[in-house]
Amino acid sequence: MENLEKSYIIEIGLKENLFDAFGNEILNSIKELGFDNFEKVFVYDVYNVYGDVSLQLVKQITKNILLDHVAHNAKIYKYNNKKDEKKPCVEVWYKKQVTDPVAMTAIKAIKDLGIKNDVKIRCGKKYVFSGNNIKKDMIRQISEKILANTLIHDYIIKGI
Amino acid sequence: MVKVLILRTGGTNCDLETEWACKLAGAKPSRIHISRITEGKVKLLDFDVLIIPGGFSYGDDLGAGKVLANELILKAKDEITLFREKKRPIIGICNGFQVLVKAGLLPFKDQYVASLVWNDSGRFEDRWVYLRVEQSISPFFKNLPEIIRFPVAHAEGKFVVKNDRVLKKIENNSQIVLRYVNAAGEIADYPYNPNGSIAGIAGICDEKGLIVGMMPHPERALLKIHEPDWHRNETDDVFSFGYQFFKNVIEYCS
Amino acid sequence: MARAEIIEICTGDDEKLLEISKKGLLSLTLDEMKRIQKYFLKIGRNPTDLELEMIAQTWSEHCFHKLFKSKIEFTEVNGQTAKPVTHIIPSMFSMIRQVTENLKKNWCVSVFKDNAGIIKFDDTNCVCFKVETHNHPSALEPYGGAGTGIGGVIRDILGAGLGAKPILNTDVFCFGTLDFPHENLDPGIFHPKRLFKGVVSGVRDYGNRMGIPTANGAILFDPGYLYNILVYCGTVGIMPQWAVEKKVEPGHLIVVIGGKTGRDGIHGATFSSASLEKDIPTSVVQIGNPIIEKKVLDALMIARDRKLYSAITDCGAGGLSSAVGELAQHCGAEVHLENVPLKYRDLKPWEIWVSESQERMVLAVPSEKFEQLKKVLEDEDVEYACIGKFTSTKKIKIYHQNDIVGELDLRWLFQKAELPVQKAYYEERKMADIIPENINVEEVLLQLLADPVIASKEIVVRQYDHEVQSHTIVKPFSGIDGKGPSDAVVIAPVYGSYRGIVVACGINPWYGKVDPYLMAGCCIDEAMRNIVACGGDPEKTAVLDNFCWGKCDDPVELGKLVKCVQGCRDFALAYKVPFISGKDSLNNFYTKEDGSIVSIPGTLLISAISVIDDVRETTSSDLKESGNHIYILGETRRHLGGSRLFNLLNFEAGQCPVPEPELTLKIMKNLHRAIKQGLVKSCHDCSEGGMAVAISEMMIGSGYGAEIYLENVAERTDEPVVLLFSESQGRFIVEVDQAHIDKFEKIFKNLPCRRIGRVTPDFRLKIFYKGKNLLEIDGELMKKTWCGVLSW
Repeated sequence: MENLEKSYIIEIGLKENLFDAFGNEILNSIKELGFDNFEKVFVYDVYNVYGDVSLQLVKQITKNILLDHVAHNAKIYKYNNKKDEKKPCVEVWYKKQVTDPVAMTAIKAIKDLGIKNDVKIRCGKKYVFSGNNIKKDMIRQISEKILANTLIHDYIIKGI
Repeated sequence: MVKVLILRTGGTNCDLETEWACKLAGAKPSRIHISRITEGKVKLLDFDVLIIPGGFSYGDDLGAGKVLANELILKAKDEITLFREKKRPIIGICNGFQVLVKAGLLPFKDQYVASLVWNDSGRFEDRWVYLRVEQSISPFFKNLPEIIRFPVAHAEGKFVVKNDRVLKKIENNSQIVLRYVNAAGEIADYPYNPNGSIAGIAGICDEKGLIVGMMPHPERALLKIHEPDWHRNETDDVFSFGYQFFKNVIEYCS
Repeated sequence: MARAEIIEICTGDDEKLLEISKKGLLSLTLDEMKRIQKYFLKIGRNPTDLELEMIAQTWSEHCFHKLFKSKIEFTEVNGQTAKPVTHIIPSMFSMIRQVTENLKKNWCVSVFKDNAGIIKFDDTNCVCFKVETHNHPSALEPYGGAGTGIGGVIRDILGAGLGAKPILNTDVFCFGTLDFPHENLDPGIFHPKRLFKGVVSGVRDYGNRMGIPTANGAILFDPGYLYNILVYCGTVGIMPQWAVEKKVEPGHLIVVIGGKTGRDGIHGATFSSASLEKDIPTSVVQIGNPIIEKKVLDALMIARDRKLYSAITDCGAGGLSSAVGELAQHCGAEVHLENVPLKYRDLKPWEIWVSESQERMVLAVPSEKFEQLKKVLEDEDVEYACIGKFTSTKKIKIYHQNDIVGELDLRWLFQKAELPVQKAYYEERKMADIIPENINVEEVLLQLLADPVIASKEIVVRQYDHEVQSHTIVKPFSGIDGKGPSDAVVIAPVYGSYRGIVVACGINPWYGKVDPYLMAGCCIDEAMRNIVACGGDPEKTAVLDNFCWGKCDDPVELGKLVKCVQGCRDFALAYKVPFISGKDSLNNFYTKEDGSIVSIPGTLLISAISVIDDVRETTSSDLKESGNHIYILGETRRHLGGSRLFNLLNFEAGQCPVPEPELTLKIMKNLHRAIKQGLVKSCHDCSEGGMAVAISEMMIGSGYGAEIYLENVAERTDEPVVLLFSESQGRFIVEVDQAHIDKFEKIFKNLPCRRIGRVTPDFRLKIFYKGKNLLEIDGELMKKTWCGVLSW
């Protein structure tokens, strides 16, 4: 990964009062796997912005492109920040060789804003779990059987 | 003849049938790519009506309608403002509704107080729905019975608002044009409300009633034989409710 | 040749030649390697890696269909006492073609020639149809693989003639059973439910974004597909008649448009004929970008109508190498690879040449039209590059910067090699018949309605936009609350015109487990029944064949395929339907850890398309009015072999349905007349689950019930179970109102047409047999059962 120090993560999630349909679907799939100790799954869109970027630029991109002010909350933090995750979670990203159409659209939207910096962006998903007695092995199984395909994805388990 | 500009970009899908709908209604439609407008090659103000049709502009990436909405605000804001001041209708259908809301054109001028998010079912829904034509300030819903039917076909059609005050204001201003109902005309749950929109809101207009956005597709309900159960209804009628909607818009401009 | 690697082939012995093929993942046989060696010895040099890749792609099973074009030494054993008889029979491909050649339908415009089969639609337009499979990539990455499958078949339509506008997508999927226990899965195999959700989502997201209605198909579940799923994707297009022919002239520019080229899918074509093993390189799986393809479609429709190019083809298996090779086949070409727009900088020339990056098309452009074409592409935001020109040298010469990285004689490359004769063996299987006894028919009918193969697929179908373009006149579901299933889809593709097309399919691998020859007949019968039940015209119907088979170097597997193809030939001729296109996907098998082979059940998909004068002269399957009469057309016999009933009861027994084309064709012609004349209120064909399921489905869509007098269904049988659940072919349930029964019965004089009951106002199914109450089920229970099986 190039420019790790200058790389940011933007995390976009639904506001609390809105129903997380995807989280609900994944919870059902988890139950079908046989795990009935999970209570909720929250799904976030995560964007890794790197290249010629500053915090100010990242905030601009978040505010004008990525954030739906009515439906979303956004968090921005540095990629390298040893962010202690309070809950068990998984990040899923495309492997480097896989072309991501959403990232291409994001670049266009950034250019439309008039930003001339060479911004690079990759798009992923973050799944946060809550429940009782959640074990790392369960998260690993959930990652491999539901959330990611290791042929095209890398996944990172955090917070457990 | 009333001139209609049907806006399109990469991923727009419903422009051809929207063009047909306008022709049937007696207008002269042109399908124009957004770049022609931002390049200045085509002038929005040469037209009487702007329609933003359905589809997946920019793949629905980063939120349906967001990127096109940004493009309109960043590159065509003045034209749109002028168009609106001249009281010319702007109609947003499905993806078009998403664009209008995310561009701050609906429900209130230059405010971002509503959005269209993922359906509660978490799935794309293609089904016909019953719609109650509400008493509204929009002139485009006359000559229609109280309950009509259009199809919906969308993944991000759930209408949400920033807070209750917004909803109250929309209701008090009579800005709701269509609500999802059951066959008896009552507000109901899924599948009658296909996406979980608050207050069953399927379509709204702005404070002047001339900018209208709706998730259902009137251009897919032009003929009786478009209706999903037309074999059950013997009729000599050729046209269905969608045709009347387009006629209303065109007649308003004539 | 600085940028290409030279492969030492000229001095190689047999072992070395095979090693080169294996190491390069070329899937070339020893014979083929020797042919290559001979060619290069003749021209006095060794080949480059690019040249070997190009040859491998061109000669691959996927591109060349070697097995289908080979003669077969066929040994058959019929009956218990007969001795084996061996013949050399002509190729399977020639058997299929023979049908169309014999039938000589003047409305078949272009068959087995171009990227899709083309038939006449009206005086101005033609319609084209293509169905393809994308099995192996979908098993590895269901979302991406299935998405690129539909993306690929759409491009076949964009590359048919000078380009057709896609107007319909069809999808047929075969998965393992959804309730398979997770703990019994082999490592590295995805659970059927995951594959099911991934494939449905992949095809959905791509098709919806392209703005093409997906409105016909099927989903099947069987343990035989646990390791190898089947993903059939089809697209129908419409084009003006003048756009049917393409022509490449020397001097025309080679222009590639659409997506950039990367390392995606390298070795897709040669790979897809090899069995699935566990360590697969990443480049085999691709993620599609439908918006790029939609922009390409938009640009092509404009450029085509302005006549800015003279030929087009899609970049599919084999990438630019196949696309340019095909177009240049009869003249020659000179290519400059450095001009190809790339995703990353460090691609080797051979990678650029055979990459299967998606969303690309190749055009032949007269140089004087290029400026105008550029403007159209730029206006539509489509990337393009001129990468060379067509020549008259009969050679293809490929440069990278100033180095020649490949040069091949096109006549040699495309020559029809003498294909080795394949060995096949078939022994007719006779199964004992079992008479099911003590069957609780009410319970059984509910269980059949709950069979995932029969149950409603609404939860899947409604995720697909089936109405975009506003052409869809008979949608996948009709009836009072959109729950009644349609047999076919009806599209009116020209705004303002009522002329239409009807599209349907026929598939049933369970018959094939018993008798692959008869399965072929049944699939054709089923596809035609579905067409006709909606209002399609059996005399204006064309079909497509798609074979997915197991390990075909096993003579027994190949023998079943041969029988199936013979069945296609014989029955298509008997039903008088021409084949206009076909594809095969062979070697769908899995090697378990203990070395045993699991082949899929041989699966034939027949897709059918019919042109009709007026889409208003169609029917739906939901019962319309209480008091109307219910008829059954066709003969019901003891055909329970391969039936869903016997699957439920776990019987491997019985007679597989035997189609009766002569009789059925007469019935279909007359049914078509009856529908056209407005005599039919509703119609549904009998297929899986027999007559009982058919009537149940007609009820579910309507809210009405039915009273059936079972003994009226057939002349002779004392077996109610047979009458209810037999899967005899060529049968329809038809609803006719009182006012029209005389006219209706007159049309079917001398044909098996029997009045069997009435529509009732009560939402209940009541079946009587010789005066006794045989079955009574509440409609709400049926509906709840049938509608509630598949969850997402």
